[in-house]
Amino acid sequence: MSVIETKKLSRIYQDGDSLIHAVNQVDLQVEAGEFTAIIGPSGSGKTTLLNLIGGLDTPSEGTVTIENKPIHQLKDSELINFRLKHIGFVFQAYNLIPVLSAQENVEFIMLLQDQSKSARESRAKELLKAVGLEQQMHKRPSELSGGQQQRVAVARALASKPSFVLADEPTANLDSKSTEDLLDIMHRLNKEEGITFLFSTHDQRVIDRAERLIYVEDGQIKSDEKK
Amino acid sequence: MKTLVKIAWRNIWRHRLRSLVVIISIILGIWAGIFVSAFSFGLNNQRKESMIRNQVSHLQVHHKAWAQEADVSYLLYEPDAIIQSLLELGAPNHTLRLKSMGMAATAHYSGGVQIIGINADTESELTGLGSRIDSGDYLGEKGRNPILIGAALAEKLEVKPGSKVILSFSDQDLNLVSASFKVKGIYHDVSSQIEKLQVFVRAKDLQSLLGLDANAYHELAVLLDDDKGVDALKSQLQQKHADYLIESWKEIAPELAFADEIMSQALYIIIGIIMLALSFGIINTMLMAVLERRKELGVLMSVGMTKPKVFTMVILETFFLALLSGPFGILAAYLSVSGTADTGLSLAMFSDGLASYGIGTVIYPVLPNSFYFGTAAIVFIMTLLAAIYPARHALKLNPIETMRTL
Ligand SMILES: Nc1ncnc2c1ncn2[C@@H]1O[C@H](COP(=O)(O)OP(=O)(O)O)[C@@H](O)[C@H]1O
Ligand SMILES: [Mg+2]
Repeated sequence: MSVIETKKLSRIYQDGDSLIHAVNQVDLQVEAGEFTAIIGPSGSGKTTLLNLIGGLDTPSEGTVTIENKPIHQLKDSELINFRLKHIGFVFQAYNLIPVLSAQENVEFIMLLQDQSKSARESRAKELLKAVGLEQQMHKRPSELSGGQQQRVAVARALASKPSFVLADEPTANLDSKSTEDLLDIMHRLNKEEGITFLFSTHDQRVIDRAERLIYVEDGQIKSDEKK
Repeated sequence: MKTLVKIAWRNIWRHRLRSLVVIISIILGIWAGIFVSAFSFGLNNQRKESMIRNQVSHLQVHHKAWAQEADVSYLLYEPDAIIQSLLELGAPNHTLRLKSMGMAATAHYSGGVQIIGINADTESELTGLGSRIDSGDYLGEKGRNPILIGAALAEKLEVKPGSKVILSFSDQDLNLVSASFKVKGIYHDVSSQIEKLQVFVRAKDLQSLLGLDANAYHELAVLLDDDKGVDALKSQLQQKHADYLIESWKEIAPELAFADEIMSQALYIIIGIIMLALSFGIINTMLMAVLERRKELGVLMSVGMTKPKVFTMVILETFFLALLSGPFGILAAYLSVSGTADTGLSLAMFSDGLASYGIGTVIYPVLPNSFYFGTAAIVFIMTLLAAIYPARHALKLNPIETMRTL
């Protein structure tokens, strides 16, 4: 069973008189435990594809099935709950609530799921430890480096024990040391905890670490190779 | 919810200065609004008080027909019986008067006046007339036909204490009576209208000129310690003396009672307008806060924060602004009202203008407590209204759109 499966997935934007096929007839399957990068030039449709898979955007055509659930059929409110339970998100920036500490940020997701205080606390601590930030737990995002913030974002994405983590250019704003650190952590979580990662990037350092590379251009998959 | 409250609270302090500006302006607005209201209430109360004390009294008793026509023959049948009742009802403070319309004339001027025959002692106790003598003396037992004239009329008649004035009026058989009076003193009143209209003579002098006996009076005025017992006393008295016209100050001078109501309505409107202006400041601030956090909100919605939660968060933030200011504004107003309530605010600079409205030169701000609650309610409602627009704006954000330019 695939964790993610798309069939003839398309997203068409209207731009004045012309139509933009941001995602064009994409058939894609991602299995549990993969560490997969979607790569391609800017404007090729990486973000749109991830948004469709994450249920943030609605397909113009085609289907998205997450763990056997056709999410393109869900209502908005169902989708929010589904996302909360099954998908972890890491974005390029602005991931964290600035007025909450690292720990509170991680707990926030679990709070939205109505988890108990003690469960939230122990899980948040465990996750922040896993991303190497147990010392920084009580700091606010502004007191953390960009790399540390993204690590908190990864911890938060994992808080709800999702089926997989979607990360849209998670290293775009990071220097090489932070990029390496973040990749190390993601890789270790993938290997040790079996967490499925699907991320987009056009950063060569990240591409080098990926285990499967899906190359998109003009909204279509041009190549798909496992290392 | 607890976390939403925490986030909202901390969000306010992300832009310390901006939030403080809003908070301080609300505090100042509320403070100014309430204080001006207390001042106006005080002004109005003092005007009312002074009209009641100097002029109207709390209750007046007349002949049944007096309201239709103030005819000389409409006398109180048995003033002593009413006075007896007043004593029994614990309202001893009264005076009796005789009234007649007539002309006052000197070589320089003549004009219509209301001639009021008074019992000098009780009149002065009731209205303080004796203490309002500018020059000359108050009426006494000595002398023939003494008269008190208002300062404004004295100026027109060109008289001073010692001068002669001719009063003409009709007696109860409609014969014209003229008599010479000697100005005993010049009185002043808060109202220059009154000064021009009313002249005071001894009741017994007027009684004999009108051909009435010694216990003939038109008017019984009653003053209570305060306004509270008026209506009760009126109905008790009316029950015992159904054949008299008994009126409270509210009926005699309805404009005084009216002013109270109009005043508080007008003041609520003023507070409302101030709050309306302030709510634009709140809307502006919150809209800025929402717009500059678009991406953050977009991410929050993406990861699973529902729209009601986003809405609630913005509403809470707005309310914190009001909560941090409203109570302090009201408290500041309360303190400055109660701080000046006893000493009063001196308006010596404007006193001439105020005197003609029947007000002294020191204003004592007062405000019914309900007004503070009313203001709090207005602040609450206005804040709620001001919160809705920015909160709706936050709802309309499309997460994907806000994050596209990440
Ligand atoms: N909301 C939108 N309206 C119109 N065009 C859009 C919108 N979102 C994305 N696009 C277009 O779709 C294409 C793919 O964009 P995107 O998925 O952001 O690419 P990438 O993430 O690979 O840079 C681009 O040509 C972009 O301009
Ligand atoms: Mg992109």
